Amino acid sequence: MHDQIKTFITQEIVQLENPDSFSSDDDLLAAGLDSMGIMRLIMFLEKTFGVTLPDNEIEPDNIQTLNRIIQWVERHR
Amino acid sequence: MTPLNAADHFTLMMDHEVRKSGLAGNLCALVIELDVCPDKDTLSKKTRSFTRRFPLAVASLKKTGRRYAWADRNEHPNIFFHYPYHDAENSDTFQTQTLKKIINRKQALEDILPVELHLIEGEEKSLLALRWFHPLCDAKGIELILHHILNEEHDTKHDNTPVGLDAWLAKQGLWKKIKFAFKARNNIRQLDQLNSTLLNPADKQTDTLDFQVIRYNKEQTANINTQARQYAGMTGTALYFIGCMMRTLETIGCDHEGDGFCVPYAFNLRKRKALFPIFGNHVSFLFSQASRKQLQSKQQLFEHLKEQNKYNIRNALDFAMLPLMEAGSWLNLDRFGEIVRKNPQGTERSSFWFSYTGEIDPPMTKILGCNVTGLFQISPVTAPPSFGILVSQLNGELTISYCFIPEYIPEEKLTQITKRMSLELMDNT
Repeated sequence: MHDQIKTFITQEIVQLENPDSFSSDDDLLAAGLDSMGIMRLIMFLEKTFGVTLPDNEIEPDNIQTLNRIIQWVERHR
Repeated sequence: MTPLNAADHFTLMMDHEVRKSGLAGNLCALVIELDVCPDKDTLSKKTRSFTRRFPLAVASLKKTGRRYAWADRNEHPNIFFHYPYHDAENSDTFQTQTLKKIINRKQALEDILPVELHLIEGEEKSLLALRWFHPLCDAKGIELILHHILNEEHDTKHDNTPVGLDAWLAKQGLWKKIKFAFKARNNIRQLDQLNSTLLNPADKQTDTLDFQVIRYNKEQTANINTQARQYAGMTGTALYFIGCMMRTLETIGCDHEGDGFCVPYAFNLRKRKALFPIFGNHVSFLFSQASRKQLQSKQQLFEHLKEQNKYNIRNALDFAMLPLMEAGSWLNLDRFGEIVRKNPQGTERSSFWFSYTGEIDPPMTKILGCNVTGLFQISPVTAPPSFGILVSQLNGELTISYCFIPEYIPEEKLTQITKRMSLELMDNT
């Protein structure tokens, strides 16, 4: 899960200067994750991991870092 | 350049879909019936004055990057057209055929005039038809345009402050918009669990929209309004028409039988009685859906539709659709159209198109000294569903305009529908 989400974020959503140095606790919102990016990310997570993520849980706390995204998805598997 | 708002883009996407179905595009009309012919020179002058005050009414649609905007035209086109009547023709046929030509005239996107005013003379009555290109404004907006053409009011309230839909979207934070968009999407996913019944699967080439207007007198209208209140409650008039049409189609039978009926309906985001904004679509939309089983009992159907509507409003699904429309406006029109129209199985989601505008507002009894004797609307449809109903009311008299694609909805079928619908509305089944 970790690698799939990381690849999607670094290749499709956020243009990072050095993707290799991207860590699981880096702040994605500070790195440029915008509204369209968040929507695409959630759709990717739902489709790839077969979960439905509740709309009332769409908050910075669950999306700010790769680790938090993984925890969020795990709670709904 | 004046950018299109999210709902304008939505209607532009529908224009694209209507064109793909073979028709002229998302061209609608508000048609006013007058007892005599108004002075055409006065109307022409008033129209010129209106377009000078509101240049957006003669703008041209242009693509800028991924989105669209209204651009000024170099010339100042005339938007008033006059059709004199000659005694040799049948008056009703002449007027109906002229209207059909007006709504079926094919033009490139950038050539379409956002608003046109057509005066069609006749033997006993004249028609004043305001044809409008839907990305410019919604049904409420066109009533306001008519008011401003006739009254020559000065535009004193237009500044850059967002109004209507734009104001609502501007006030929302990023996270709230995203939450709302997913809330709306989840609602649509829920709806998609039932496949929609369609009158016709639509597999022929077509190029013409047709319409038929059914009028109800004051007594009949009062009866229908009473039934609407009894079944659907004080605020459920629109639901009453939707539910009755669902039952009508279920009774007469449809070529594509699904699990139930699903019908989109719009609602106005303007403040009540507001004369601004004139331009822009300031509407959101919701769906009414019922399974075929729920249609069997009229009482149960309306209990269900009322409950569904209450749930939608309580959960703010009406506003939740706005960020979804805003996100969609960044997609190309083909992709946006596919998402909006089709369920994941690739079937059309809308069983029919629907609009309810109620009494015209501001009220209108006379135009340039002529009595207003009737009013109806025309709207295009995509194929499928190839069928829509538009309900209006003037001075306590109801009209239902049936808009359809004749290749898919033959005359015999339409007659069955209109007769059965009248029985349903008057609870006379």
